[in-house]
Amino acid sequence: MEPILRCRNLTKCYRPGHPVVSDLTLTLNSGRIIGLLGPNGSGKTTLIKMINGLLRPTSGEVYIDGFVPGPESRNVVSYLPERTYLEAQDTVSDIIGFFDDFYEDFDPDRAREMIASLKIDETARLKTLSKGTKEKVQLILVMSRNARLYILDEPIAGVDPAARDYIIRTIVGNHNPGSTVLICTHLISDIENILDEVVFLKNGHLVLYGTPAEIRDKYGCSVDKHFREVFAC
Amino acid sequence: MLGKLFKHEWKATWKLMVIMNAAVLVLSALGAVFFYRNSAVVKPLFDSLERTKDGDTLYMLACMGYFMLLVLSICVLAVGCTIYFYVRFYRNLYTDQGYLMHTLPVTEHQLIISKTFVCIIWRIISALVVLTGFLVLMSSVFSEDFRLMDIIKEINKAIFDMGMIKGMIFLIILILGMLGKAIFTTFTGYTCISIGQLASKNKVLAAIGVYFGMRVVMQMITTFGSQYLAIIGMMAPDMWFEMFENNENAMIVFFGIAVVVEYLICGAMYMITHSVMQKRLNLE
Repeated sequence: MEPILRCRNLTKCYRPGHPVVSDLTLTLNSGRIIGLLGPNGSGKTTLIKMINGLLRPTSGEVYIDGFVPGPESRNVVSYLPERTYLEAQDTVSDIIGFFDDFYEDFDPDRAREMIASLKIDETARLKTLSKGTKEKVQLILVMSRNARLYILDEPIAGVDPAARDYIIRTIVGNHNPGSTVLICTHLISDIENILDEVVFLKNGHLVLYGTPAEIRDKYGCSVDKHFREVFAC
Repeated sequence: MLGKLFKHEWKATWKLMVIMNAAVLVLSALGAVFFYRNSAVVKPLFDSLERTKDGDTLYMLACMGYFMLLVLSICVLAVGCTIYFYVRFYRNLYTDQGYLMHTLPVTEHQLIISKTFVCIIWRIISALVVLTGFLVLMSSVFSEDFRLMDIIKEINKAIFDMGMIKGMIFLIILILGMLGKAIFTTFTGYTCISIGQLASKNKVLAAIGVYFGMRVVMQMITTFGSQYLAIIGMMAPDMWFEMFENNENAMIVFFGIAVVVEYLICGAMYMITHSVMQKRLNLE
């Protein structure tokens, strides 16, 4: 399997001497659904920002499909941040047009189909939609790309259980086969059964990397339970 | 990709800018009709008004009210255009929307250039709208004495009195200077907003602080430069004359230097903005 993401001795300090991500070396292979897990302040979002080129590492390197973060790597990464990043004045249709213009791998028909299945009016402005609906629209846009790496930052946080099921179904059913999905979340029990691999981060360090089956065999408990033990307060 | 960025930037901004420009044009046109007192439609109305004392007062009040409204609309257009594009730059690149804009397969250069280009086009359009409105209004108020063609002829004559080549050089410097001013104003805001991002908190406040700091420094440099030249002119007029032969040459040289300096500062501000975006980006 070819690696889609390679991080080598990656470090990020916002203040000198206080690394948020510390000397992280990690290689993720293609065709996997991977959970990026860790408590608040463990460096998950900082790592994701560095992969997307939204932050510059203090030291170390990161390669996505062989590219350093930049316009080339952004062509292969489909990123869902935990923020709503769409212009409130735009209509759903405007935003589909925007994605279609900029991302060569974007499938507008798939996006429209998913929007219609949720009975969202394409002519509606985003400011008229509820927070949950806006999040779904954003997820649909991200999952309508035939990307090589999907990075989803807290996709199921703050939504009701029914919406959570919809989001998980959308992720599993729409990601490009052969691509890698990196899901950053706290809600492990909800996604444990779809994960091929898990990465545990603690204080910016990699503390565990393996498959859920390996964790169950080694520690005799679920990933969720093991997470609670490792990160017990 | 630059074309696509430009297209979407234009699409996002044109409505508000058209409304602001249209307001100035409509007000100017209304004023032109209002003051065109020789018109067969308007003249009888004013004549009947001015026959009474109250009519005079009413007419004066209407004039004052109108001019205040016109000046206000021009100010809103000039200041509003500047602030609108500054706010859009900030919101689009340094708030939540930045998560989308900075993950598009485009370079930071393309992001800055597309936004600057659209902003400058609207600045030029707005300047032309204000100028058109002003000329229409003036030709209406002073309908007997104000002839647009005469003014154009006078300007033409003044430029060509300098001599063909010198006149053309002056004209080119003038146009470059006006364009440079539009670019300068645009980058001043963009640079201050970008430098403000380096603060750990209160980034907008930091940007405003940098803006005023920059204005003070620029003002000091301009004042110092002009005073220095004036003193040289007064203390050594012979040297001045030997150097430039006449005032026109001096004007062209100094205006040319000012324009070059303006573009150099624009280049520096562009590099600062790009550097912050590429190396120090840290979205909340």
